[in-house]
Amino acid sequence: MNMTSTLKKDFKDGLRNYRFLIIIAGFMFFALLTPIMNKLILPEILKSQFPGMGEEAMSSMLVNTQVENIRGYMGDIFEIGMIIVAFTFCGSIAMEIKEYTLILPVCSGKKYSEVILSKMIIFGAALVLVSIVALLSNYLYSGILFGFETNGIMPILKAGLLQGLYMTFILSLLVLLGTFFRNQIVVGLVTLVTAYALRIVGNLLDINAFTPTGLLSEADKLTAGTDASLLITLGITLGLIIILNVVAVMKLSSTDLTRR
Amino acid sequence: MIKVEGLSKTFKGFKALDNVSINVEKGDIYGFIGHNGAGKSTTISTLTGLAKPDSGKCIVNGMDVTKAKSPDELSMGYLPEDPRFYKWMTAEETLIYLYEAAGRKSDPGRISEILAWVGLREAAGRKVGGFSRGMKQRLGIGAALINDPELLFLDEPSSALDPEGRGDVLRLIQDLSDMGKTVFFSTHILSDVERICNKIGILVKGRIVREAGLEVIQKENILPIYDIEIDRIISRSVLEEISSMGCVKKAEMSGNRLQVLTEGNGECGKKLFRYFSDSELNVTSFNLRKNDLENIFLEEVKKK
Repeated sequence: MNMTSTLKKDFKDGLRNYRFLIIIAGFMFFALLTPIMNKLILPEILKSQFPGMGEEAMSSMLVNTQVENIRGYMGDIFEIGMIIVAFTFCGSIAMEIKEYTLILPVCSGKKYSEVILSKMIIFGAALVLVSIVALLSNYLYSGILFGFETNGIMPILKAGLLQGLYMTFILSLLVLLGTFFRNQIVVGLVTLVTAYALRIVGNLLDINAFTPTGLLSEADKLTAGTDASLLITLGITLGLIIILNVVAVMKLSSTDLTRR
Repeated sequence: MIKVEGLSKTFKGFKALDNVSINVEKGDIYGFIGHNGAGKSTTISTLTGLAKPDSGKCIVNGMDVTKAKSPDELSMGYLPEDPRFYKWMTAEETLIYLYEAAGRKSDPGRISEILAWVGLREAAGRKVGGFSRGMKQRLGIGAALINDPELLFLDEPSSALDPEGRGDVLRLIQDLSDMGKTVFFSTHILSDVERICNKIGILVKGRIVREAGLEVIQKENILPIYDIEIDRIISRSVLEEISSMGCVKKAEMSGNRLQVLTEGNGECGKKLFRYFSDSELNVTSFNLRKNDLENIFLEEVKKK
């Protein structure tokens, strides 16, 4: 399988349709805004809302440390960043089927597995990179504003990598659902509902370590080490990504691409 | 090149194709005609391996379509009814992408040759999203040719085009035939079929009602009417003399034109010819009227 042309095509797709730009802007916006909000804007809001509040009381209501800032940012990414990811990549397969753009490549020799794998590699790599870079930016900026706390950047790199891997799992869900639904909005919504439901169920039953959501819990710890529970979560997530991709290829192979 | 026997396909209880049989020989330009919704695109989707038949045998390029793992195994080129490309790619990038799809390294010479052949060399660097329908159709023909296949399926290649665009596409199809390619060409524009096809299949409500060489069908449908023109206004006495011939059923005149309905054997034509050659009238045109494809098609539809 020679995937070079498909990889090049998906890379150009990411650039020319501003997918990469949207993801970078979305993640960086939260990465840089969170420390500013916590350092400059929130205290002003509290002062104006509660004029008589003492410094100590106000301080207890505010985020005052770098670690709290980083965790706040990671929370924002799960809640809002995921919406950006879902609606940026919801059409990656659904639109190809809806717009019939897969017909000519498939007739020219393109394999379905190549189509899916290429999207996972290019967009997955972009999500991992952007997650790491945005988290590093958040770490540096919040460190400048609040003072550095963490033990070097290794915990940050690890947290960014885990967050990126979680987003890659979301991407594989988007790809799979795209083979079932031609409407990209439906694909995005179903993916978000699944991801949020997974987190809620994981929290309720305390099984996050056995779902991809466990990657976010592990990232939240901001530690550099690796333990057995993380390896289990990693294994389950990678296994799920592979299964979702294999099912997507099978579904795509049995889809009548010419159906109106 | 194509051998189809008993092909059937049903969509949600609707029988789109019913026992369709088709035979296309190497070098044919096969006109596949039928109303909108008759099942032409469904047939082509099945023959290109993009859709699975419910039953029947479909051999394309010597390979059973149902056994092909992917459409490219059938070694054919396909132009969909409405070819869709990535709007953000240029024409050149599109052809390079499709060329490399089969795992080959790009060949700028081949890409440039195809672009020139379909008349898009000047537009090679333009994004496809800004192309007219005709340009997309020509790029689609180029895309279908990317693997240099011996067999091409063209689904309604000229239907949505203006007369100039249609002319361009028909010329390209004729050129393909001159290159020795076999073309399976679906349309509901019957004059296009008359212009370029040598064999036709008529599809009505998912069934093939007639399949034969175009000339054979036209010969079978010759009407026993002679259209004769002379260089002056025809006098009533000429009309009476012709009407009085035993084999003439009816004769009508209009200015210098005469329409003669005969009994149907060739003898009457000879008699008429002899009459005019013996007379002092100068005949400028003497034709046995052929039924055009549109009439033939409508008659076949009526029979159903």
